[in-house]
Amino acid sequence: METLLELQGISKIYPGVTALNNVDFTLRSGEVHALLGVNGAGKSTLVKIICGAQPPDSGTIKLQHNLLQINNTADAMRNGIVVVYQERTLIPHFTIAENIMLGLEPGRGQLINRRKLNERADQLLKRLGVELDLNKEVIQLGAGQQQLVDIVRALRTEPKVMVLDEPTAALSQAETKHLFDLLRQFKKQGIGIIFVSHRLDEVFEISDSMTILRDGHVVSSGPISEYTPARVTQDIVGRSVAKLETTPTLNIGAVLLETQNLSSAEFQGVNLKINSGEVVGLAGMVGAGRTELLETLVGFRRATSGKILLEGKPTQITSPENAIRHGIVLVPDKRIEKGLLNRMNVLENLTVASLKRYSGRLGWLQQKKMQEAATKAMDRLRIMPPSLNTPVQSLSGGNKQKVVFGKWLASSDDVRGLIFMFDEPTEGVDVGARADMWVIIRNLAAQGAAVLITSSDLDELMAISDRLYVMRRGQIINEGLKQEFTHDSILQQMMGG
Amino acid sequence: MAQISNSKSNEPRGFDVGNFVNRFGTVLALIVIFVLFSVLSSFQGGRFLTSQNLINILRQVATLAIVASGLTIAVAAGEFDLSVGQVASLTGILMAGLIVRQELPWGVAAIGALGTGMLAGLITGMLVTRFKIPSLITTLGMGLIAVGVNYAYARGDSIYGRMPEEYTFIGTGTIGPIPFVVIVSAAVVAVLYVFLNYTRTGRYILATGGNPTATRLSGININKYRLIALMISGFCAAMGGSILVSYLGSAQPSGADNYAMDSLAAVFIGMTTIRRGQANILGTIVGVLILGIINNGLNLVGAPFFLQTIVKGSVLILAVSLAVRREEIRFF
Repeated sequence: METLLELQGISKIYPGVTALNNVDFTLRSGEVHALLGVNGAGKSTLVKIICGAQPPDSGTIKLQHNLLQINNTADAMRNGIVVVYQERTLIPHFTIAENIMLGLEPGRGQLINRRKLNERADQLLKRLGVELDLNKEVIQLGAGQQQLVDIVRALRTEPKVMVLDEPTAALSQAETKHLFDLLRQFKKQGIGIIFVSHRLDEVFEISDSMTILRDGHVVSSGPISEYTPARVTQDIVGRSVAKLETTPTLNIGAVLLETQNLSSAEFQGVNLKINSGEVVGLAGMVGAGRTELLETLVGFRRATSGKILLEGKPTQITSPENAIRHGIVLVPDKRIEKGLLNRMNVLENLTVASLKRYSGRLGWLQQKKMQEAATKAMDRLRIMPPSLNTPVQSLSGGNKQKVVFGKWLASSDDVRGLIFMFDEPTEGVDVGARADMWVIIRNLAAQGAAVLITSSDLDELMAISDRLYVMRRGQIINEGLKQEFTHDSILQQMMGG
Repeated sequence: MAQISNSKSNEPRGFDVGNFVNRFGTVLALIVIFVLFSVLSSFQGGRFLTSQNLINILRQVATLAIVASGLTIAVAAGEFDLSVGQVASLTGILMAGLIVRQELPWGVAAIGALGTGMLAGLITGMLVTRFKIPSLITTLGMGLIAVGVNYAYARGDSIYGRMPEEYTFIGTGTIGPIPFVVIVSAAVVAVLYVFLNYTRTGRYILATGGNPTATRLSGININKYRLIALMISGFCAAMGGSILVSYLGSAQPSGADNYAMDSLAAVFIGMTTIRRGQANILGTIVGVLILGIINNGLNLVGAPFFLQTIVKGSVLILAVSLAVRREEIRFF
């Protein structure tokens, strides 16, 4: 197979981070080349450079042995390099044909020739071997078909290189199989495909070769035959880092929360048990359904079937308000949008969830009580600077997260029997604040609360949890005490290798 | 901003009663309202269901139909235009003033008035695309500016006087039994319908409103189409204002202000039918007719005047809340 795209010595430095360091990458025509790495390894930066969205700081890009100067995505497209993004880029009320031909409508002057437009779209579908009802509006299509429309549109210019960014993230298994059948056809037509994915089983099914990135370097690259799932995992993770063990709880108590066959669009048949006094970790890739599961447990989303039992009693959790009344609290991910009143100060944020405790008759707020409770929470969490009047906007990431915690701490002195859930509790938080938070979380369990925590950071889950569940594509696929897992074994299960 | 839910993947095959009712529910409502007034008024002499009254209704909604159709183009591009009422009032005052006070030929006055409407749209469009101010806010300000210019020119007075017959014919003339204004209005609506659905520019306006990112990635200059859409909205507002003056024979300083809320209501009612979830001209016309029939019918059955606005407001909220419930329209 001839060399199609050749990147040599590509580097890209963002302020404070070397995203790519002297990366070489070769794509041959007619191959599917998987690009692997954890979040932040440099995959997306490399994709952006290939498709012209970001210029490299140094290095060369050659397409069919000709040096390319790509300044923007239009340049890349003109040279035959297209990207299909993870998000759909379709016009909901346009037909499939109109979406495929958007911007290239045939016709004279202002008038669009619809017959010709449909003909051309049809020719394109025939050439690609795709079957779609051209006159259907895309809003009526499922995720798989919408993605097909996006792919077909990317291919209308007869590109040489196609980048697929996590193409199967929203697809069912049948749709994925269909997509792969198509990719095999595109290969025969000599298109080179770069396949960015987290799913190892799929990578092994469809790819001819792979490149693994870690910390902006190419760790390894070669034909698929040189790899085993175990080696891929090892290359992706490297030797694991920082060990900050916390002491496990000894007094594990009664089951506080249990789910039976809990299902929704994002997860299926989930059976979980969380006891008082323990910290339970939930591992899984982004998109495995972790956040959706937590949000369902606090009534932010609805389950379609299954049961939630609180202390053995079946309970309907209808809203976050209702969950709080049942003693279930979620400290959400993306704290700035979901957890903080950004324009208010520390005092207001710490007390907002428990105003009832400080209000006297007629709902008049008792400032003194509020200040006492907030000060206590602030001291317990070591929020810096220790001032109730600081606007939360001006706090550091770690302190913001502490305020989000503190909101719930201030709402109760006795945490026994309560259920705390944390979604990515230390995302974007510095090392010191992270250690503080681990201690806080462990203390909650030690005082008799039940804790369910999910994090993309496996080291964190391993350090803090007593017990772990592993989730993949909406299903719990394994459960066990922390000692039964290793970092690598979890990762392998998460990715399905 | 209105957005379309992408989550549903219903695939209707053949004739589907539920789907038909959903799609044409608002049209059915129009028919129900029509029948209701026919029956109600039959107890009071049956003045509603006469050819004379039906022609009346068409004449009463003719100018609103023009303004609302222009606004439909702006909403189709994903923009709001709250200034159409005040722009229409301003251009009406200018039209009358240029003819009566400046004694210009009515053609020149019309160019001045329509040009002013387009200029308002152009300025709004530049502010929206260059400075990235939401059109909701820009047009709120533009409306106030139009009021100010209006008062600066007319000093808050009504303007009346002799106007040339060719001009007053637009508003008051008839061809056979049909008022000329209805013909003008139908022509403008037809042109806008063809424009939005069958021309390249129209399709790009719809694409921009449907998914700006996708449209831009297809190599289409979305700012250009947002600007064009807002200019069309301003132009149609000016046309509505000018024709209203020709019908009334005089201009009031805030005579066309109601067009803003009425045409927004018509566009939103229209988004619940024909092409659900998307601003579309035919839907808007259904909305205009619903509002017009409610006005006319309530008048004829002797309902107090304040009931008109209450009913109109309720119909708007009902139609849109049904559409939101069915997840066809999503706000925020």
